[in-house]
Amino acid sequence: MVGVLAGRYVYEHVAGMLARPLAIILISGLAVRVIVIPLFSFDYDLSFWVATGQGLEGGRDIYETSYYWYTPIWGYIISITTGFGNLLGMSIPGEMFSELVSSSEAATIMNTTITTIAANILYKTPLLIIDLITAWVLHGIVKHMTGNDKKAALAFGLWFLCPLVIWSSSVACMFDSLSAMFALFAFLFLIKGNYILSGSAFALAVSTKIFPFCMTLIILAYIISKHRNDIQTAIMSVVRFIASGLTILFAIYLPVILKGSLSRSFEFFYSRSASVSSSSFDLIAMLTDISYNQIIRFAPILMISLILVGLWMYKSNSDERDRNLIMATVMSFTIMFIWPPTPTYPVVMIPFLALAITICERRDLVWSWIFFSAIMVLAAFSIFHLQLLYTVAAYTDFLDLGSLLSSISDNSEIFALLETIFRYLEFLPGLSVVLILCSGRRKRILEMHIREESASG
Amino acid sequence: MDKRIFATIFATIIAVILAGQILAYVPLYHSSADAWRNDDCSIGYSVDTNASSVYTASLFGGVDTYSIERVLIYYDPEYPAHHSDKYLEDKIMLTVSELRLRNSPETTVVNAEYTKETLLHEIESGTYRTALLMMTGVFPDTIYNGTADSPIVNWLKGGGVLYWLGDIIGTYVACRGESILSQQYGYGEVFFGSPDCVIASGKINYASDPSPDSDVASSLGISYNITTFGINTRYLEQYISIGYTKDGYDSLVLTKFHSGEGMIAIFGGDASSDAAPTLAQTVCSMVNYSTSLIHTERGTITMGTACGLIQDTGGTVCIYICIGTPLVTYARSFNIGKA
Repeated sequence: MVGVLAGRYVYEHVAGMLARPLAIILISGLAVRVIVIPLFSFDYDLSFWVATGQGLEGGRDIYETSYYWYTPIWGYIISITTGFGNLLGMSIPGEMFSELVSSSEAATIMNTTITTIAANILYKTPLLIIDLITAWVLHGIVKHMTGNDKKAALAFGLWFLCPLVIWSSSVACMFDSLSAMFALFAFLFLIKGNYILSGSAFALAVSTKIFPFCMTLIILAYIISKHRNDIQTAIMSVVRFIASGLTILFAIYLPVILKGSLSRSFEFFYSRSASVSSSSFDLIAMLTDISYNQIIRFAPILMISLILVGLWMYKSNSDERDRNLIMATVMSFTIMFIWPPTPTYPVVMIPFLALAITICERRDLVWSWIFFSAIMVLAAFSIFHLQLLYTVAAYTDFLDLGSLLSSISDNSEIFALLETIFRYLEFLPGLSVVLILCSGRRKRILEMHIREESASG
Repeated sequence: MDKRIFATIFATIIAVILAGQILAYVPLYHSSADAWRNDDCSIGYSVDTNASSVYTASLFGGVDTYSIERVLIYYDPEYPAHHSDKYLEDKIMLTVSELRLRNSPETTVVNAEYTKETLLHEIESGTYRTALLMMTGVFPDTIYNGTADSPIVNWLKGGGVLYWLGDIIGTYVACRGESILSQQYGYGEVFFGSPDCVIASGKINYASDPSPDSDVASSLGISYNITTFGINTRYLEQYISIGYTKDGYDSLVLTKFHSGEGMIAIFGGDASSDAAPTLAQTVCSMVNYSTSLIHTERGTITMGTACGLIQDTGGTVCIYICIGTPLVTYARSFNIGKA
């Protein structure tokens, strides 16, 4: 009898929990990732993480193998992940397949290696944890600022179920969500007035991936605006923010500096800058073959836009300051990603889009979220297409690698066409944010006029 | 929202990252290998590692041609080359690192003058114990003057071993302090006893058809397909081709010097990050133009030791043990004399 009652209690309790939107979102997000993580993968990035890990096993540091040219934070996570892989007995992270050697490119580890199911799980698991932490922080922020459980759950879902986030972390194994997580922590500590932790988190966000750098002006504007009546406190707050950021960067970079690998750790950034500076603006080329080299020519306009957003942030009054910080961040990222050279880059923007939708009540931005989710993922898919199935073909009996390669070859023209189309469609998500924010502003001005007229008349 | 919980989580993430930093910069992993001949003519070997990995043990015959005791990598910033100093220094450092993890013979980066002295010394003494890696794509004028009577050619005649990549061998000669490379003709006759068309024109090219000796290549995990400066094996007599082939040009060929005892290994590409592991694998495995694969086997180790036994014919053999895939994390070759 007691057993039956206990069973009923547990059933009802668990069923009650599972019926909550948050639990449904969490379970759905986990279920999708459990399927995607081991099976769907392409080796453009993952093979480099595997090679970096193997470099460590060979007694070298993260930069010595020449397969890692990002800032060291993700490299440090790779070193822990590789250690776990060894403890768990993962002996084969990937293999080179001669079937992938083609007469159109040099055979490198990047294009001839297929990672194993075990490696896919191993190297993507930290990103799953990061996705979860980010979702949980988002939930906490929304709950704190609105006191509304449903909105908090919605924000959780807008991140955790976002196809772009799932693609970036669980398919591509790219660490954009790590930068997003740190940027969100920076926001959280900033609105809480803890400038030391905020500065540290922001430094980590920027040094993981450079994109949150576009938040610099608005963060500084936010701090100064918040303490504009007490200039000494404003200066000290800014000093705390910057000093803590520099301290954490020094700690992170110390061995890199000592080993003389500093320039290599920025190779990701300056190799792209070099290719940009060596190119010239060509409108015809931009229309026929769009690239970041062309878009970056509009950098002065983008910079002026960022400064204007910073000024708007500075002018915020205390009632709206936190909400304006969210909107200013969304605007800054929109300027940055008006045309992202890689579809996964806007991942760092998704948490702030979720905050704008839930906290700032900008539900119309759901359209932008949909555009980011659909277009960026389809754009990425058009680049890597059936390569996603390499692991399944190489290590399971469900598919044959030879047949898969034939299919890729047979459909190469279609994939190339899709890639070109989606390169141009990548403008849509950013433009949608701009249009929605502009139309929202006009609508609010009209409503204000109507209110004023009815009050006077 | 409890701020302390978020601060604690954030601090934990930083602690994890710093732990990763320690793991990345403190050498934790070590591997070793050994090989020996048993009384019953079998070859025994053992592999030990504190990582979890795959190992390959490959037994090669026809390896007693050369006895390399040191590896010299030519690089002299005072002499012009096809690439910038920064680029070449980067690739040479990477190659040295790849050679060291494969337990290469003593490796030194040497300038033009030292290279010349070494070659002349070996020619005079008649003992050839050096492998020379030319990664700059040009010879310095100290060792090559465009004729068959150059130190490098005489050294190859006697038994020197040259690994070449970066351009058409013998086409460009660099003079100290000058920025322009002088162009030479007739390299085919000097180095291969053939017309100049023996090497591909330099148009960027890749191959996808495996070369005849792909069994040696796959046992070494070599996958090298650049035929930009590939060699046409039609003009060669004794060689092995361990890369890929396209339009008659092969991406990686080791050939006996046409008028002497030495060997030239021709890589069809440039000094690049991806070439470094292949170059190191080719040098350290001690394969040469007469090498044949007798046996290869593969196994897995999970933080421990693995042992194996291979039957052989009793002649001089080389067993090359490699740990790791797709990248090599440790390798060592063992020359084992006749039973």
